[in-house]
Amino acid sequence: MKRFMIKLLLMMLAGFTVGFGMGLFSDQIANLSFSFDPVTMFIYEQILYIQLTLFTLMLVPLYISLFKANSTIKKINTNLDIENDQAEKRFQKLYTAGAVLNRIMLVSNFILMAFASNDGNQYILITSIIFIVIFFLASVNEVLTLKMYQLYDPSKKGDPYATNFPKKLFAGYDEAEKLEVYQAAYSTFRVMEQLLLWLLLVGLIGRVMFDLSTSIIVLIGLIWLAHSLTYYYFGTKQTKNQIIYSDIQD
Amino acid sequence: MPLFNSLKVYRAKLGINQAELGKRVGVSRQTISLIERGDYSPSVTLALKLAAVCAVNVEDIFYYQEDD
Repeated sequence: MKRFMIKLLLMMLAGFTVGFGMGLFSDQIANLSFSFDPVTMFIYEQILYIQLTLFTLMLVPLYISLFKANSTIKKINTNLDIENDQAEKRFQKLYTAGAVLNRIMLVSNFILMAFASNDGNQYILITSIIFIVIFFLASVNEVLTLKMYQLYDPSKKGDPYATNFPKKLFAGYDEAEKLEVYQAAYSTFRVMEQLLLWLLLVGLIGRVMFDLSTSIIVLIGLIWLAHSLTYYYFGTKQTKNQIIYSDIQD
Repeated sequence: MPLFNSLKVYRAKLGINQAELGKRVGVSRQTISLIERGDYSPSVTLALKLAAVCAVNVEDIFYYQEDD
């Protein structure tokens, strides 16, 4: 009993020390003043050049990856075991690089357009045209990569322009491929849960230190909520369904 | 993973490549490679299909061995 009391007192002391330390730390953070204004102003002023530079830097390696991936498909030798087929490995690398770059370009396009849409932007027309062109190119690339994958693996059916394409594509996956998709989806869920929590914490600190807009924190919170609720919804739905190992439905 | 297999040996006996075996059982070439390497344990359905193509029992291809 005595030992327990000492342990409890020590824990309380440790808690008090940590709490006091964190209080001091928070006070110091609140007193810090740092402004992103010069950076934001620079982006506002140079938005056209930033758009042109960034998209040129992305488009060149993107198309090189996609063209090389396309030409590698012909070199894949299905008579060989996959482990010995270098063309197969090369295709996977180039294809992934192209697809990832395209997605980065698409997201960057929206972020830069948000900067470009400020009142003082004298190049609003040109920046808007760049936004539309990049959006169009990224969409075309998305379809091209999907068609390329169908060329690589003809068992993957469906028309990339159709709305039910993801469902049809997934139906063409075999059991191991479906398992890979589910493992990747679960890993993504776990990473996003952590990331959104940290983003909320950073957002709160940003609110105190840099007077960030409350809407950013609300938006991250809503995304986190929607993310978790969607997971719980499909988790509950899945447990009610019969799970057929080789024929998991999306 | 305690599940081992001799799929590669039986495939060699048939004289077919991974793509052809995959085609016969309805899976991709990549999945056959994963099974042969022991990186994926197939479903009972797929194991039975593989055994049927190789004209042997499932236990001849797949065997379970506990880790020490």
